[in-house]
Amino acid sequence: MDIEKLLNVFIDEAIERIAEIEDGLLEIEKSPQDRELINAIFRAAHTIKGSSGTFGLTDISRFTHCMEEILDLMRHDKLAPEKEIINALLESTDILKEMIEALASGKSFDFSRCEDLINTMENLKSRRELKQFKIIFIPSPDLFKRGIEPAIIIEDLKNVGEIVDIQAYSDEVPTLSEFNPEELYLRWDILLKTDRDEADIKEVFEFVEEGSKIKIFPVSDAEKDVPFLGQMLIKEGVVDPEDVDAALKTQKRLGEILVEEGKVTSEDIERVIAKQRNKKMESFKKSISSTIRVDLKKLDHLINIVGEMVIIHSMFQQTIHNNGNGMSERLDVIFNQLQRIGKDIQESVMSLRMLPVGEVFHRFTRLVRELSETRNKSIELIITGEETELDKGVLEKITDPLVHLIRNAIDHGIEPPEERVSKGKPAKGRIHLSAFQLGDSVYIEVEDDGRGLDKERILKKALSAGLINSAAGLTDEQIFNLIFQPGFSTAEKVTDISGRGVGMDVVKKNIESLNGKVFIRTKPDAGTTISIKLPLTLAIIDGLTVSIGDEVFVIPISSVIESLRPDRSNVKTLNEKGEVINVRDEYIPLLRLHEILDIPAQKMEPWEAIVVVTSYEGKKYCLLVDDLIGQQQIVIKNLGNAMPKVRDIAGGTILGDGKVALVLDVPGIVEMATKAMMN
Amino acid sequence: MAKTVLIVDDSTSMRQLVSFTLKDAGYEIVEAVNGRDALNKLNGKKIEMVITDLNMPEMDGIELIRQLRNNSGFRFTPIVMLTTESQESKKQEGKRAGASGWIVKPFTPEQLIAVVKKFVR
Repeated sequence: MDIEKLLNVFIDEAIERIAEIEDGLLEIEKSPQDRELINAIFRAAHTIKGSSGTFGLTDISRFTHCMEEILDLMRHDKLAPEKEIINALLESTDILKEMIEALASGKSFDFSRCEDLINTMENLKSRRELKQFKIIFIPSPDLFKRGIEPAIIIEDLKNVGEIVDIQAYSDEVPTLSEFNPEELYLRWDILLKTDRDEADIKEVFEFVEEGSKIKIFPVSDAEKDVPFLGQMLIKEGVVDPEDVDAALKTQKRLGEILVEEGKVTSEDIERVIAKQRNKKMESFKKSISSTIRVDLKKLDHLINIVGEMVIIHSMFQQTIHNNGNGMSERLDVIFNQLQRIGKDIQESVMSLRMLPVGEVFHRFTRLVRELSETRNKSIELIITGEETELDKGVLEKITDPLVHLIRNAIDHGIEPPEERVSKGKPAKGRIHLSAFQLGDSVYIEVEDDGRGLDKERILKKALSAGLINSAAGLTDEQIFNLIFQPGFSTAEKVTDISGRGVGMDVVKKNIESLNGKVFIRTKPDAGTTISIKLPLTLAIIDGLTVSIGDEVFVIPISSVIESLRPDRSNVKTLNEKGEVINVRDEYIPLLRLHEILDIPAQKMEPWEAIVVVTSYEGKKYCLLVDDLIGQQQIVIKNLGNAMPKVRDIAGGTILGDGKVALVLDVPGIVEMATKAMMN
Repeated sequence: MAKTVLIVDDSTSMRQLVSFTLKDAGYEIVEAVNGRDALNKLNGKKIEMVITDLNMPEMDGIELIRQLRNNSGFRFTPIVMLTTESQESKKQEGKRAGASGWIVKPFTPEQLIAVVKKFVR
């Protein structure tokens, strides 16, 4: 295996680990006590440090070492996960990302950029918490007989921390007549201030622990200067140490006390404890993930082969169909089985490309956190449906649009806290990012509880920007859809994140390029929901095959409503709209595909041919074709770079009879046709 | 007067390293190649500290510690064993036999001197 390949594995792994660190850091803010979580973050940083060191990437290794040190202090409770520390670590993950990206693209990374952050981290490190431990040391009486002097232990303790207080007790020393000079009668109470933990202190006592009694326990801040009540009582001779010990043992756990006070039932406690245990289990399971890394190229190759198989199936079917008479019924049965298995294989192969959306969704936690901070808005991001799966390609292309939508929600949707309160809403805004599957589609929704879209403002803006000539006749939906027009922006203030009038149109284009659709639902002062509908997968779609002249085209079923042969009396020409067809009293514009595609057709009149009713942006359009051929699953192939990019063709496919057919892009066709009509 | 340290190890190089380092620091050194050799070399000498390896032929370090602790002259003498990190069970055994502490191999001369200074005052 050459080093290049290994390096790629490292890069892949590092990217995953960095995401883990980032997610973990954001999570730790919410649950700073989650030990398993902080351990997971530490392990991720540790892995990057280790493997970068192995590859001789000293910069990355040195940098992650700094992060690791802070995380190590955190996981040993020596450093609290304060905001400043989390921020420094998040910044570090950003730099780390850049370093990895630079490595992946073969560029060099200027390490001096890290210096500031390294210094910051060094400073933060010194903030480690000094803790006080109380040590009760009752040595074994025969300590001398092992060649150990207690003074050695006390000396060693000084290496661990500062001895704040030490008290020797000589109350066990017998009278002279009973005194055995070979035995040790003294015991000590020691108060130690240190940044190390209990285990480090324990180590000092490792060689004397046999036969000795050693108790080490942390002293909390409040108790640091105030001796224990028990201690004071003992000191003043009111009670015996044994009595205090016995009394302390009768202390109850929190749960027991709450039950006794009737605040909760023991079932409640048990239920919550079980939940706590489950949580621990889950976080443990998370750390043992059952995945295997596969080169995307290999996967795509497999998918291509499966695609070919689907085509062969169609050919087979057609051959049987054409020569069917002589063939045995048995062949038909076998073929059906083959087809079923083929479909199973196809589905499971396609599922290999599927990834849960959670990975992408969780990146937004950080975005929302940072943006709401800079905008002085308090916003909570709620994520649901993170286990919903999407094609890797779709997932990658959906990320940027989602960033835009979330930024918009933060910037334009959610009101400032004062405004929210005056409207009687909670000061804290809410963005709900959700994903769910419905039929063959996956929906991703960004829902905010902000001010909603302002119809009047959109209209005003669209008129002044020349996007529309008049507001007359526009439905609410059409008005709201204006925000997707290029050059549209209603924000009064242009901020650094949104309001530059790029964004929503790009969002829409990106989603349509994925064969998806965008919907808006909005209500004044209740909020806005942008709903994105995406096909489950990109490569294989259900298509309607139609013929125009000598050519065969495929229209994606997802955009087809119905197909019909209109009555001659229902085809009319209106002044404003051109040719329309009356479909059950609805006048739908007629688009002659052969004209748009500039190819000869066999049938020129709609009442002789077929119209396919499609919908785009809530409007219907009739596409004129010669004839319907059928409906089948098709594998969309990229046309490649040889073809210039055309808006009306989404790709090509091979049909069952081996012929090549082009797949029509309905939004592209509609746009071309409307443009042609305007001219 | 210089304090005497007994070093017991079957490895010549280890013995030499320890005695060279400690002589340099002003200690008298008695060398022995195993437990039996060490017991033979005591003959009434005043030994302030014993440093012993654990795995040695004829008599190992554990047995040496046991015998020394039964010798009234060595009941309170610091005995430090040389161990490797992996010898956890040996460590426990040594502890039970009456060892005062251990030095983990490999160690630097500075570490060795620090340990000796701790036990010999």
